[in-house]
Amino acid sequence: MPKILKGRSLSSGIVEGKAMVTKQPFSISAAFTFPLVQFSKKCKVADRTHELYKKDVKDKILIFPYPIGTTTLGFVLLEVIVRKIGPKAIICEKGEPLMSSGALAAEIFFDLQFPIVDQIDFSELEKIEDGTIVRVNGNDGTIEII
Amino acid sequence: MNLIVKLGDSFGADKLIEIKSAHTVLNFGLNFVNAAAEILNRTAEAGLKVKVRTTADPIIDLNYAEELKVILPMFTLHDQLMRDLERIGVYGFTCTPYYLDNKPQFGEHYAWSESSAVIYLNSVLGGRSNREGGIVDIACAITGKTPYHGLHLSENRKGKILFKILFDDWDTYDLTSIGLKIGEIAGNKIPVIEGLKKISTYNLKNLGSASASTGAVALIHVIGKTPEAKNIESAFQNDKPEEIVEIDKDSLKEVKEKYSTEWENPPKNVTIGCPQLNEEEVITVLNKLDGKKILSNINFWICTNELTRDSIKKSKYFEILKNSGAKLTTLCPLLTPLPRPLMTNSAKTCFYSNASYRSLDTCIKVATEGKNNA
Repeated sequence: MPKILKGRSLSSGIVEGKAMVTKQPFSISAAFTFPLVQFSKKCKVADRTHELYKKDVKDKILIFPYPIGTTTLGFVLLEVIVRKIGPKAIICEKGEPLMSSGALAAEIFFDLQFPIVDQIDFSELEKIEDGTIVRVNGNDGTIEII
Repeated sequence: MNLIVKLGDSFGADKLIEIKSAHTVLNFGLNFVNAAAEILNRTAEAGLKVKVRTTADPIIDLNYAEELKVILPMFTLHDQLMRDLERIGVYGFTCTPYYLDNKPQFGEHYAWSESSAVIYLNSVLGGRSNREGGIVDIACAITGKTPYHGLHLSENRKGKILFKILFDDWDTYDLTSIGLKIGEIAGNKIPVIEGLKKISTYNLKNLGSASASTGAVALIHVIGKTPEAKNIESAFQNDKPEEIVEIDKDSLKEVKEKYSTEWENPPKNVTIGCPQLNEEEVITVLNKLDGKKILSNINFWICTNELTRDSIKKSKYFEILKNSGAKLTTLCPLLTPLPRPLMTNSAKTCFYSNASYRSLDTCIKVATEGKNNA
């Protein structure tokens, strides 16, 4: 039986992919600016203070407690979405407008969906193992662990 | 409008409120902001204009085109962004707009980006802004409104974690390192600091920018110093701290090492100031440089806003600047990919840019005496 967890939708879209989970708060600017500047086809985390340093998060469902870092976050995420080099979706315990602005702008201005779901206890999220298939439904704010 | 309404909806805002000013980070012409630049271009093409005073983050300093010629080709979007920002009515390029004419007032509402500016606005000036981000800020500036949620509401400005600073002989290097540590521990909770009553506002800027890098901190209360923290009761809104953390001088050693990147060779570039320095800070640096000379194979950048740069150029300190060979600039050391090895006194630059993290005195010693490590 797949397990369904209910959270809050921050942006729409339905995708499925392999989970990559970190307990460490995540700086989208520190992680992704470098691969973008390099025009990399992969999305290797460039934040050397992070446990995911050098891991490629392309096409993953990225799961972390909450985002941190400076306010370029929104358009860095937007660029990652538009270039299609990054994760497919984000799940976290506590999102913030900065992060969802990137996904919302992708939808409004580029017709691209990137679901973000938050308000799911991290105690539940950390049980998800790396590589597990997760379906993220940004339309109703649920995630399904398959 | 659609963008800010959707954002407001998902974060439970029941209305939009009027803002007094905006500050955007959508200005830096590096090649990683194509999608955002396209949105700005469509905005300008539609003939839209900002409704409130709107400043933007620093841009590349073309006064140093020769020194920066290797990296200039990376700024593919510079001309387009500058043209479109001007068309919608944005001017004034600095990460410290509060030193220009975009100075927030206590209790008023704003839509600012630039994490170091937002934390200064909320903490030091008592204005109210969420961390907007580099597209939403433009949308807010155009509409003159922002969603009413988060730090716009008094109850969300309550302190959560108490940090006790156990020593009082701190210098700027200690304070920025305290900032890194506080951001790391606080994450997205509001820190309250006890023991920094005597901190200057420019060092609060430096400390805050560090916390906003290692954490998602947009407001710090400093008891006896910041306007919403006259005493411990007002900082915590009569509640108790969820957690109490003590910081002694010894524990900062580890922070200073952890966030620093050590290079084998001496630095090619040394940057001072990120956030950009105010006039008092620039003068401090110049006084320390008096009678010294920067080595010819090192660029020593003192980063400040245009107003301060022009004022220094007219002052008696210009002589020291000229003789030292240091470069007074409006560039952003964070988003200008200066050739490595890089050394800085800025906690924020070291966090984002793989730089060696040192005190101002050490940076000067290295740049004038040529040691890799001093």
